[in-house]
Amino acid sequence: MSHLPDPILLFVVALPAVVALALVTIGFVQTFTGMTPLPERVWRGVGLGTGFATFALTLVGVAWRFDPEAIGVQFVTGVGGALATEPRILLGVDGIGLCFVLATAGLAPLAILASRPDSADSVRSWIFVVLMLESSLLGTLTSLNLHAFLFFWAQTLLPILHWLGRWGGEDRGRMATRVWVTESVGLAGLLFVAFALAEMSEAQLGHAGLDLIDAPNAAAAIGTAIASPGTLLDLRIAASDQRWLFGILVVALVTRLPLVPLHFWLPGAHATSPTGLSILLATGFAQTAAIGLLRFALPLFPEAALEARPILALVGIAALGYASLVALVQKELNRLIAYTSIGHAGFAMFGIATMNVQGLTGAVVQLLTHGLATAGIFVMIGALALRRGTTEVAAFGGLARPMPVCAAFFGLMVFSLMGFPLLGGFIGDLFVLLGSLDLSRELSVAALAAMGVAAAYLLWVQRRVFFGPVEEPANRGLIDLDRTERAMLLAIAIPILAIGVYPNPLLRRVEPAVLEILHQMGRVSLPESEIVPVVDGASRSAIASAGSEEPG
Amino acid sequence: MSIVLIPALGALIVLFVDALFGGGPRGPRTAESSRASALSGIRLGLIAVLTLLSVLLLLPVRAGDGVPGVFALDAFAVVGITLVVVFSFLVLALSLTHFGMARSRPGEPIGLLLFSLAGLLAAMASQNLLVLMLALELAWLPVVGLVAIDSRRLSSSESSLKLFFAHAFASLVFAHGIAFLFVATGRLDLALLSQAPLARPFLFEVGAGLLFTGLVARCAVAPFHPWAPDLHEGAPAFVAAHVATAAQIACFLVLLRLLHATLPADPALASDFVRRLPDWIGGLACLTLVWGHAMALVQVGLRRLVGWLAVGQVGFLALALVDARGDGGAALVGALIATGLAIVGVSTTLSSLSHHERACEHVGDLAGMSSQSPARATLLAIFLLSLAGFPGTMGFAARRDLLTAVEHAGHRGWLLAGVVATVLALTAVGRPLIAMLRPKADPRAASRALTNEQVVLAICAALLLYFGVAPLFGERMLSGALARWIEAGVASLRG
Repeated sequence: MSHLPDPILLFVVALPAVVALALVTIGFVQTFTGMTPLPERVWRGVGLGTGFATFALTLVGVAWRFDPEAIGVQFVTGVGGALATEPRILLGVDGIGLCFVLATAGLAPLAILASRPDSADSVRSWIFVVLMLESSLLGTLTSLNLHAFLFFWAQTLLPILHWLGRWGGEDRGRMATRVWVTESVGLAGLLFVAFALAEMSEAQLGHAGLDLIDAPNAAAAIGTAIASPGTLLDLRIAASDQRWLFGILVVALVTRLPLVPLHFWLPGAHATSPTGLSILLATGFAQTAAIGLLRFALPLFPEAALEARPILALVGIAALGYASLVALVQKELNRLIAYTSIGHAGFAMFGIATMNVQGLTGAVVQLLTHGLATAGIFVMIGALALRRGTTEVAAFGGLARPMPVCAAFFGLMVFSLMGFPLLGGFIGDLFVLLGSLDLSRELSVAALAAMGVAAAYLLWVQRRVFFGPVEEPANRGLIDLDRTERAMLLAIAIPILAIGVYPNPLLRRVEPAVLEILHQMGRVSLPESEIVPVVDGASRSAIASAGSEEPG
Repeated sequence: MSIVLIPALGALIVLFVDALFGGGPRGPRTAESSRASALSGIRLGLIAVLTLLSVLLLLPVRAGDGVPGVFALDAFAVVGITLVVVFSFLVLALSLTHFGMARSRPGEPIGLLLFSLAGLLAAMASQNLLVLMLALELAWLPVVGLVAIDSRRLSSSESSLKLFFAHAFASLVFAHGIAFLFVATGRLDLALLSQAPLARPFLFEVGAGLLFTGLVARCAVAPFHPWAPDLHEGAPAFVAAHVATAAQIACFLVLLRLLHATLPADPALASDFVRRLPDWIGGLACLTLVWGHAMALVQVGLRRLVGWLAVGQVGFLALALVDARGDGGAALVGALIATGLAIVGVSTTLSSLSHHERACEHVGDLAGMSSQSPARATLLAIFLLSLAGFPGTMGFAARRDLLTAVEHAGHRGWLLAGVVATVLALTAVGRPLIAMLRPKADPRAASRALTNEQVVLAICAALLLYFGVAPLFGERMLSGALARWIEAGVASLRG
């Protein structure tokens, strides 16, 4: 077992950013030297190529080499200060991070394919924005210290603001302001928690480090022998401090999930967003919040988290119910799907609130498959908007006849969102519900009822858009999805089907990460020697023999 | 002659040369008058640059020297003087735009700027309260004139008048403070502050209170701040930049020096009044940072928005003083640099957008900038984000050090105020950022940035980004050297 740092994650995170900065530099050189601008297809090609290259690097370099038997983070690497007190970037993935990183890296090139700005002049800026967003999302998903998490979390905001503000639809200014203000609150909350933890770290460990992995490994990851003992996980935080810090951190993070009542920015943002941005908002953006909750909030403040279980569960169920009811009265497809996301975010929070293996695993799978399914739906909404110039539900009807392929894909995505067996959504929903039985049977029943409402509006929208007679003359001659759109949807549908039919490879990777989180929370006992996060991970076989869940 | 007075000599030379060779034609603006004014500005600006260069070159040679009891060029003064001089180069570069637009003859402004700099340098090296007062007068009275130099704008005269009254109030209070202290101790040197007399403690406390109030008022700490947004709105860009950089650095460093002189190393030895002094300043700082940033939220005018953001920044800077004897000193200097660079950057960007008759005055005037002037839009975004303390900029790094110092001093409540102010600041800068992304309503093209403006913008943005991002990736050569230099300067105050 080698303890040398593996820089693959640095490459994955840095590649889009480096290409994006190179594009900008070339653009400025062209402007200042008066050279003829490169044609649009070149910029677009470079963007797409980088997106696919990043995905290939993630797939081959990270996912392929990921050891599913190992507990803890793998591919730990970093740059920055040698001392824990200095700001630095530490990256690594566990099974949960791996799933989210794969989804984000895989969907980023689709986001480029799915939308394009109007003028050739802005293609360069647009590709720059997409690649920077991808890089910062990947950085957030793989961060192993609060410095890095905070840095990348903040950096995701600027491309989103730019994308929405410049290439969004009507009312984009107001929506961009909403996103910015909400995210500012989240950012400030994260800052506050980081300051408080740094202070505690200094008082207890003798340094103001914000790392999640032990110092020798951190030092190895950044290629230095200097080390300071102790990580954030070694802090002994008083119960009262845990309560308010956990509260602030959860509020900061769920602004992005987003959880009711901090969801108000999402429907408008989706309604005005270009398709590509909607795809990334529904996947990587929301998943960064989940990573924050699972990687930082639960392990760092376990007592407060356990105390907050009923509240979090109730808020989650209420969010699902509320979003499902509001979705019933939506007249516009983007807003309707946005409320689906809000409802499913509530359901994921319900899964997280169970704080057991099934619930957390279900929440992760649910976030992953929901992101994929909504990404697929946004691709189709984009295609419909392109053909009809509107996304109002009332403008459609009977589209299954002129657009059978689109109807089939839409059905697949909708059924996955409903939790239909043999589709990805089912696995997530099932595990969350199984986990919730440990928390409260009444809440499980309430969650089932809310899911029923969600299924009702999803079926309603499918019926309203694709079935029945074709009443609008403009819908009769609609052309079905083209080859690019079909390829994109196929790329999304394959993992949804694969997870639904054979979830074992996914679960094998997620479960050790969940066990580690629960161990850090004191909910599961594992042999101490096996769970220390190392560069190469440790044997999972120990879990099978020693892992046992303790009552909450 | 102490080197702190070299700029005054330079000012006299500038006025002399201007009187002899003229500063360009007067009258309505024409292409000819613009060129003549710009050339005259370059000529006189060169004299100013040479003057400042001589200060910089002589500084290492004369460090440690001084006039006993009057000036001392200790390491702290060297740090302050270097920063003020370096920022003054940027201000001088920016002033060329003003002269190029023939908005005023260059002789008087450059002369006044140099007189002001002489006062600021003298204030930072001053070891005597009376000399300090005279130095501050020399520093600020020329600024009052400079603010009113743009005769085309009524707001320029109005803001100058407000600054004059604010300055008069601050001077009055400061002078009374000195008088009380003299009556209480019979001395005027800075060391008197550390030795509260047993005979007349009340007079001493009143004197010290007035002394610090006078300085705090000059720094634009609330509730003495109303002149600051007006100044940003009415003054020419280079004057606003001078006040936000050189003048602000000097005032805060003087405040830090006086606090160091007043607070004993062992807090147990301090009187109740002295012990509470940083807390009072901290309370005013919290008020300032919340007030400034909250007011920035509702501004429509761009310059007033920047002005209120600058007031909010003053709140952050003053917050560092609660830990003046600890990490707060170094954090303050770092934050002064970050704030100065950001405000110079914003002022330069707005100046570069206002060359035409249709000036860039309102947030809505930024519409279309991201597509028409992407480079300047990016730079303006960097400056604004740095002002708001966004991660990845020097403003964030400075704010992090500053709030860490506040927390070390045991003020978690004020840390919360700092975080709330950060939310307000981010929200406030969000409006111009989003406005730049909107489509342009006015078909007229934005004015191009002049070469001097491009240089200033590039320097400010590069430094803000470098010191914001590079440390995160392990760069310690420049950032480490800067931190050590500042720390050594602040440490010299502790003796």
